[in-house]
Amino acid sequence: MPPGPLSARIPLPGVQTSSESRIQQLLDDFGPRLQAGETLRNARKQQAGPARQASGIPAIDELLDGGFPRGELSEIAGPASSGRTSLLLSLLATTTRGRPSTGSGAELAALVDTPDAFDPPSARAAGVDLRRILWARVRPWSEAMRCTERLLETEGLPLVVLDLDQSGGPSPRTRSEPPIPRSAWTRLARRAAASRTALVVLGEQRRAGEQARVALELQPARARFTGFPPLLEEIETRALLVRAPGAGRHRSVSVRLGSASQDVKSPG
Amino acid sequence: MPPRIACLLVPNLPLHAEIRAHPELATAPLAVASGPESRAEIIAASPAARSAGVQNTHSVAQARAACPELRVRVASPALERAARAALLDVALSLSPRAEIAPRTPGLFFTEGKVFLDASGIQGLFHSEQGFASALLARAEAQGLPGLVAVASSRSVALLAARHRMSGGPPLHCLPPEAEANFLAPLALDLFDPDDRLAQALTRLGIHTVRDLLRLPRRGLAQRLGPGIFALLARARGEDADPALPEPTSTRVEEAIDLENPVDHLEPLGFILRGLISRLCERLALRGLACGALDLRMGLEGGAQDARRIGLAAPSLDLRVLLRLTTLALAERAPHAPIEHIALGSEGVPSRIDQLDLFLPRGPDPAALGRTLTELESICGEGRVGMPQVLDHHDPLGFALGPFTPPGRESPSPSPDPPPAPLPALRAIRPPLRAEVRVHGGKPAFVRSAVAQGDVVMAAGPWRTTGYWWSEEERFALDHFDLQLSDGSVIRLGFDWIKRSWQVDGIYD
Repeated sequence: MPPGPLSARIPLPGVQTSSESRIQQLLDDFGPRLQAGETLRNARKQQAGPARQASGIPAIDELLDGGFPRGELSEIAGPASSGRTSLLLSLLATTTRGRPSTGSGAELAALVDTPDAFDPPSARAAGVDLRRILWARVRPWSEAMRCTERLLETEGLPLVVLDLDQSGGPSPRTRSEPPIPRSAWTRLARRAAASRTALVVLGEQRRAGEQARVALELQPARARFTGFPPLLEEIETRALLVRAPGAGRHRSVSVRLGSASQDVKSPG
Repeated sequence: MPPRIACLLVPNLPLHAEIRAHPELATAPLAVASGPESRAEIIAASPAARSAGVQNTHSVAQARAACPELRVRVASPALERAARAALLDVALSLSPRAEIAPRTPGLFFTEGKVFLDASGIQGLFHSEQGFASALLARAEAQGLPGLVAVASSRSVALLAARHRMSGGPPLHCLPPEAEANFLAPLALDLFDPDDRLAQALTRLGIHTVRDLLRLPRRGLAQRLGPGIFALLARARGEDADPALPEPTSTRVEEAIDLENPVDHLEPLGFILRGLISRLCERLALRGLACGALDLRMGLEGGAQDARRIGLAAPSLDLRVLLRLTTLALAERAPHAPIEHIALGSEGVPSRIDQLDLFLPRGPDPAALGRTLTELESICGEGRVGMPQVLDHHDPLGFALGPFTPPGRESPSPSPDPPPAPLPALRAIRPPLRAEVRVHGGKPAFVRSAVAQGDVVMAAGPWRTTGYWWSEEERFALDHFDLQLSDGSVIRLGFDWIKRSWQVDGIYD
């Protein structure tokens, strides 16, 4: 690269030849870019982070136009064994490890776990960097909402997951609780918007109503056991986008969540 | 250049220590007595009490006769100790070297004083006057109004401060060249000599420093005792004390003796709020945050109850600390009414982090610390943190460690691509009991609270055993991965210790 105008204007008296050449090289590399403000623009862009939090599953990311939107409330709903947790762990893995394709760096994520169902070995196997996961094991949902609200007030957390699924076991204390009021969801959605955090709520059914910008419903298709003796290889599920901005809703994809590969079988 | 020493002096410390702990008494006629009995002596009285006729050396009965609405408190060593320590914190908020003066018997036994290095403060405060004003303001903010004097030695600074007790502005900065003239007319009572020496000097008609310095040196010790030399040195403004130390301890403690034992959590909450508030204010003065809280309670009957309340991250949030403390007490209540409470904490620096222009902005460490502490106060101790996989074979084992995320890394993401998504397990804690019908050594039908149906596909069993040497921890499990006719895919285990079937998790 030819020397830029900035380097041409800076004299370097008294600097030893080797140091001088290194400084000259740096000025050649960065001088014009600094002068043009390119570095600052890049820095601001990098600091702001991506507009969407990719799940790491190409079919789902395509369905969601790049991932779960930051600053919005999104929902993942479905019955047991529909692949919600696999999708969640993939999302956490992408967030905590970064994405080579987009160049985004590793970030922190928080998980508010009402059913106490997070399984660290499973998460590690899915590629989640556990050092970047803040795990809050909390009951009942009223306390979980408070925790989530507090996390959303902490600026700089790109992803907060609220797991409200109770399909993993009878919890009399939780089941006897009144339903979550709509105002609570409104408050969470506002907080997520203010902190530019992707808030993802997971449950057996949708709860946030119109406060959810994106809602994804998963329906279990089948589990595949292969080999002899047989081993659980993958879970096949169908993801239906039931709520999304624009005309993207009611699209669906089939996803195979398994050790071999994941792919889109048939866009609906 | 001679060193400059500041003295922060709080007259009537027992009185201010009481008001610091009980702010509602600030405007009442208040007196502090040396004991609970009616013949006990009043050792400090508030301006309202003094104007009503109460004097030091009155008995409690005399004081009550002079002022019927007088509130009398018995001097509390715990409160006084905390107030003295708070004085040191005030000093350390402005100077790295400070020392608290021990309580002395004599005329000035109720005063609290701290000396601090005031050398080289011009860069920060422009003048010694500005430094002294800041010191005074910080002490007042801690509920310890006092007097400040700056001089070349501790002795002269103390005398200058005591001199202002009789009136005048509360600040006195004495230039080195003016010290001799300042000392000369001072009454020797301000030096608080011991009784024998004071009587001898009075007999000789020596009342001021000037009179003392005029005395011939010969035979002085024989006539007045060896203590006269120390008094002479102080009268000349000489300082024999070693240089001021730089305290290294960051421990802060607040305590209170309760007039009536407390046996309910609600009134205790008010007392704890005051203690935590004062503790936080002192830590904030030193730029520190509260680490773990050490709660020590003296119970009726002489028993002690001590416990440590861990924090997820250093915090100064009064609401959060109070909630954590009350949660800890509610969880395990003391077995007898509480007579004395002490709350201590090791001050720890708040987390700091350097922002990076080229990385996504992570949470501010201090804000994250506050969040962690608040989450812990909601979820309970040990329920917030970083998940950890244990290095053993127990398939249900995990740990939750303190959340200390790694520092910012280079913008390039991890070079290894994340593994392909696996069927993830949702753990069921504790595992749910299941009824299982076995056919040919394998489960054929499962009934549980989470899944029920015929087994469509099965994989397993895989046996895991461990800790066979420990009766409490040993485990032996046979695990199956099963797809049931209701569509669920579960992990079923047979516990060989309990000899029962259980559902450990659901593949989801």
